[in-house]
Amino acid sequence: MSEIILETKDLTKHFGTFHAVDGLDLKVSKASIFGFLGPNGAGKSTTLRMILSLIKPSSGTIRIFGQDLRTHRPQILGRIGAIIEKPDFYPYLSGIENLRLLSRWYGLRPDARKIDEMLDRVGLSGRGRDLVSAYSHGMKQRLGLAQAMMHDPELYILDEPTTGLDPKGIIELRELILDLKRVYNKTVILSSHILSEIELIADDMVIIDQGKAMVQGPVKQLLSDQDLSVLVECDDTQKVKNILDTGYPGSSSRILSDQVIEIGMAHDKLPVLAQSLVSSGVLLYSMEYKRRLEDYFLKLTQRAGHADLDQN
Amino acid sequence: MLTWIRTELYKMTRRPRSYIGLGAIAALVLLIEFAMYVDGEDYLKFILQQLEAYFTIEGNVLNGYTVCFVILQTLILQMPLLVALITGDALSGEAALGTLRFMLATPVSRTGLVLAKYLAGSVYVAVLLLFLGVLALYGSMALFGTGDLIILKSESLIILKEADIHWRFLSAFMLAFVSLSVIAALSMMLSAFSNNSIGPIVLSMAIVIVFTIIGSLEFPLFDSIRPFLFTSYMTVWRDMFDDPLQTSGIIRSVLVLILHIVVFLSVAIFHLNKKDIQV
Repeated sequence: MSEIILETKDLTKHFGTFHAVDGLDLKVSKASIFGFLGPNGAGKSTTLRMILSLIKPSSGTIRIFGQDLRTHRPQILGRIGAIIEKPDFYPYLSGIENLRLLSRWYGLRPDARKIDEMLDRVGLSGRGRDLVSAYSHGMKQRLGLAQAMMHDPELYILDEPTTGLDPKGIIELRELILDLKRVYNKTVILSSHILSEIELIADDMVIIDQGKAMVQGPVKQLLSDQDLSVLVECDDTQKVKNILDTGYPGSSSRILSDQVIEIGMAHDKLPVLAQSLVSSGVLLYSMEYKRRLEDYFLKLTQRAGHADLDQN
Repeated sequence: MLTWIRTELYKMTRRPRSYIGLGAIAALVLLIEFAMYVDGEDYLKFILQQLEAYFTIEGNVLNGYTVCFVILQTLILQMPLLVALITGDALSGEAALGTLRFMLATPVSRTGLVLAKYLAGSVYVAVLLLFLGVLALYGSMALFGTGDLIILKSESLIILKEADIHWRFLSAFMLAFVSLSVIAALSMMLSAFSNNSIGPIVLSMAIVIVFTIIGSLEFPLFDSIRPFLFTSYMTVWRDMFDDPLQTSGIIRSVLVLILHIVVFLSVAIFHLNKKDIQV
């Protein structure tokens, strides 16, 4: 079993009578990407703020790097890089000046070369001398990432890091996060509304709702427990439906149009189905997963008003 | 801690707001000096007309020391606003910007942050007073020369010899520094309770104005309240121009002011350490 880098036990926070986080137990393994999911108001930000000691827990414990956050706050925070919600900087300072200040907060001497390297890594080279007041939201988000990486932390906490980024920026960020894990052996806690993002890059995940963990574990394992929903584009949907009904008991199907049929079946049977469709003379144009995590998420949380989920 | 103070000072030097105080002081001092240069003789004649019925006044009465004293009397009342403009924004401004969240997610301690911000604020107070001192004292001395300082009090007339004045001004500026440091601590405390920039600045000024008015109203009802208002001790700088000096009174005032600084900062530290950062 891999080393646990962050662990919360019975973590609870209430504001008056409202329980924002209710007995949350989390375990984050070293050198993994941990997806943190939940609808708005589920308690994600409150949890992340407690992990960063911005909010004091009502009860429960937080241990990071094997140390209690209450007693080792400076040592722990010195090893964490974070973006919490929107990245905010001093608008009257340039990007470089902001990074210099942030370095000092971590007890580092500002290193011009390192700052340039970080700006380059997040795609802001050439804009470092501009005042932050002239930055777009996406640029601030990139600067936030540079800020989080400045002191080479072991654990990254990224709360909605793709907000405001253009598609190219989102892809670059995804690569960057994967590199943090693969190349630099870092741990990333990634909170996101973009479920496909989590599905693509996270190793483990937790889904929380109303302050409680609904499910937690390896993403692959959690999703493989679910029946797969696949959209099949072909020349004869009725023929596909007949093949399924006769040869694949337990599967389900729904014709959506003349050329598109939705199939529900176990993950491991999918290659065999593809083979048999082709050998039966069906012209197969495409087979596409429907958002599995999205369905899973909605099934778990099963609350109205989840329109806040990003369908990207 | 020194690093944090340096970062606070750096931010201060880069904020346009920090220069409002210096600009206001420069404008007002130069305006008063110009007015005294043009109309000073008439102004003094008007003030001293009753005395001249009994005494013969000779020498350079309209000198740099007199002008500096007039400037101090006029400006010291407005200085708390200039101080609160910076220190009242210290924590709440960071909260409003969202940078407090970033700052407190680093190894920076909350207690250290309040102290660093307060000490940086004190440096700002010192710079304001130094600037005021250079312009008001040395600027006036250059323009009007030197001479004895005549101070009219409600029940007495004090004449300070030229050789006995300079150190009194320097001490008065130091006492003004302690007084304004109370304003810095007060606005810092209010700033810890707020998440917007303007509220603590306005509230600090409201407190100073209300306390000053209560302290100056000659109603017996307020006599018992007056000793508990920190503003009653903020005019301690004027005591440096008494002859003889009431040393024990000055020390008492300074101690009361320092006590207020300690209490205000302690409340700020206590509150910030308990505060959940949700913005």
